[in-house]
Amino acid sequence: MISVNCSTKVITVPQSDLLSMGGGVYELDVNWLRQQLKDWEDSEEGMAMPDTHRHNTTVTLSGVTYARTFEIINGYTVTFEDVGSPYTVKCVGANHNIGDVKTVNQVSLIIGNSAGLIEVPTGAGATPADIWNRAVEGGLTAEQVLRILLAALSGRTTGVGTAQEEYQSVDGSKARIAATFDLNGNRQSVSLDGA
Amino acid sequence: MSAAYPSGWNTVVPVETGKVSASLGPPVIGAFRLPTDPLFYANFTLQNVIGGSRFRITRNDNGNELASGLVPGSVATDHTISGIAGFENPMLMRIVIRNASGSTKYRSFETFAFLYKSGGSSYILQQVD
Repeated sequence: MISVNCSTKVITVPQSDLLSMGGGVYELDVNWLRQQLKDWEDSEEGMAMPDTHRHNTTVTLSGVTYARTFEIINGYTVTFEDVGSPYTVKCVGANHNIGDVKTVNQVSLIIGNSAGLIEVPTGAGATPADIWNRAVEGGLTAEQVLRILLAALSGRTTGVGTAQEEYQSVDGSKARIAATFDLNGNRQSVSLDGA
Repeated sequence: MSAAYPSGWNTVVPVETGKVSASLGPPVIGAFRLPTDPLFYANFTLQNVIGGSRFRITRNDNGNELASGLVPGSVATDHTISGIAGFENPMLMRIVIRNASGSTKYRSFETFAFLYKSGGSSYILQQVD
């Protein structure tokens, strides 16, 4: 069961409250967390504390049900139980900001947010270039990731089966992926070029 | 209020209430009110509050708790809280109502209201979260 420290505003989520998916991955139903926090808020202890979160429920527009949103507010932070070994928490059930308020420890988070139409502070909205230039992982933009995937799937290769393999761009002008392998075939280093 | 201390032997000092009064036996002929003592006590009604909700009423000026508790029942009702201490007339209060322990969970409701010597009330509009 979750607990909330009133003096530090730390919300602690035990690993036992998460659904084990195997392989060190655990699933967190964000809506379940919301309900737990609501329950705590109306306890004797919680009544003296500010709200822990803001919630907008699901909404159906023209037959499509859009996900709820859940936002931790008022300075609260979320700590997933540190059990001494690393594990991953995959969030489902809502768009949320847990990644922004999560305490750094051995637990990593798969946020799982998904945006449809979004608003930007200025301008008429996100342009296609804005979307393709969004950093996905490791500083690589969506456009670069797609080029690298294309090279891995269909690009010409060199050195396959040796200690160094390369996967070429579609036009063969450069190596999109250059990887070195040990004797067991494990990748030792990978160099990516999505430009 | 004026006070009289005719002699030490008949001075009543009920320290547990924070008040000092002097008497010559019944009736009380004088009393002092400390600055921290309430001016009055009055009833306050939470209208249309859903049974099972927990309420907390605090002074708006310093956040001190005036009353808290659980509304009995399970349906919308008027719930009167008796004897809330008033420190000024009127006194602005902050009211927080929460109800999320049952299957239906409500948004936290917060409002402000004045407590008068004659009492007061506030309409509570809780929305499903």
